[in-house]
Amino acid sequence: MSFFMSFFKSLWKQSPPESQPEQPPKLPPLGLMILAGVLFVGSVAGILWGSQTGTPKSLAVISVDGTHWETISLHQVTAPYTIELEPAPGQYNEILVAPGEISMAQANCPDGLCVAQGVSTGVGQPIVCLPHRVVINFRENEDSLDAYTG
Amino acid sequence: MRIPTGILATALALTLAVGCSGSSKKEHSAEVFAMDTLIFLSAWGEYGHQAVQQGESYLYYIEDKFSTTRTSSELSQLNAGAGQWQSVSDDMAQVIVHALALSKETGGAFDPTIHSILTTWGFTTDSFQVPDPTEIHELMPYVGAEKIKYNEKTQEVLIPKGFSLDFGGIAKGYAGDELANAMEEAGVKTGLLTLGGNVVAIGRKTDGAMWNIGIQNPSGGGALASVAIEDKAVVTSGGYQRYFAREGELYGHIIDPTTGYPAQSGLTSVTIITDSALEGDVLSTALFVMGVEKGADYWREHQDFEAVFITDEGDIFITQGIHPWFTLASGYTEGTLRVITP
Repeated sequence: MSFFMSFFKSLWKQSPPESQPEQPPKLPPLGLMILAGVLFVGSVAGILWGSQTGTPKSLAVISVDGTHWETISLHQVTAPYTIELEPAPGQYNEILVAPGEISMAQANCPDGLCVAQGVSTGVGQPIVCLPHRVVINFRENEDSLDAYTG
Repeated sequence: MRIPTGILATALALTLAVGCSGSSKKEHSAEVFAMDTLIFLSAWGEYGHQAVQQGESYLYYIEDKFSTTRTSSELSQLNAGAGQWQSVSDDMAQVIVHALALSKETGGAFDPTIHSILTTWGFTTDSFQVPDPTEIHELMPYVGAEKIKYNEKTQEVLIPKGFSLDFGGIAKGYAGDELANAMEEAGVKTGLLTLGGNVVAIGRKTDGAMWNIGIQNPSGGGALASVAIEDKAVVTSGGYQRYFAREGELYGHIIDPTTGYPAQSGLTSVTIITDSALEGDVLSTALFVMGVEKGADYWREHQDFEAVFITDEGDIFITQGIHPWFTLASGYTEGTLRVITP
């Protein structure tokens, strides 16, 4: 991006000085224009690609105290449902799973931060209930199966 | 249960020691038609190419041992020599020992002496027919693994006259275990073997992720669920895999050894997830014959494997241990999912 900006500035510097306002602005050579266009398109594509890498994480992986509990393909969920967990006697977490999203709907943890994290579509930070050691993490989906049995 | 590897491991090790090259991420694969099924072998890394080549040869070797349709196979020769003690190869000895032990353990739900009944139904010849009840009645006295005698010291077997062995429900599992063990001993850290309904995974994928194995929906349309595994075998048996229809009635290839008729246990498939493909091969058949209630009891008594039962109604029963690694496919609305607890 910085390279793109410096290149863009270098093109700007090639425009005529203000002391000659009556002359039509001198366009940069055709080759430079094409190169600038290519770089612009490349930069936009790079930005979009960068924002996509790691983002389509529609697999929600729930673990309790470091032990894997369940993996959910969020994009495959067709109707909302809840998962009730009792990580330890007296502890309570209720996870709400809906099409394309997941949240910690309720928890009787002392700070309530996990509930406050709100709804996740499987992108970004995991939902963590630190006091109860309940984690909803996300990873990239893999639609293709490695093999079939049956 | 891991079977000791023998000749195959040695052959692989020697071949691989000669010289290997390649990236650890590169996949080497082969499709092999053997043992009445299509087999996929995949191995990654510098030892992958040779391992797959050796594996392919090994499958043909095993087929020559256990085929019941080739008259020249060791098993066909043993069946032809019923009524006398006969020496068997190391591979045959391993399979006989495990088959007899697991037949006893499953209470006869798995029985390798079912061959004559399978033949009567036409499942070994593709000449399907519904046998006359008197025919089944006359053959049933020749079904019973407990009648097979095996002498471990002399490595000899006695098949009583009239009996015949069929290892169709165990040989692919045995081959899968042998292949996986030999590949691992030869240095393969990542591999995936698919022998019909038997999937054997070596290690994890090259990116460190677990293998994602789909379980076929008996009603068609791809997988109804998947299980995530590493260093495990996933084996499915289902009546839908091989059957024929007569006068509107469907007859599946999994025979109940106690009746001589296709098992009608209310199940369309059973999937076993276990350390041993051989055990998975046998148990998927045995628990299919047992049905979900007896199958669940068997799991509770042993708990050294996991199982997925799919009923005729489309309901899915999974044992508790596989629950964290089990993912139901999108839009599966044919039945409900229930967890079997210890």
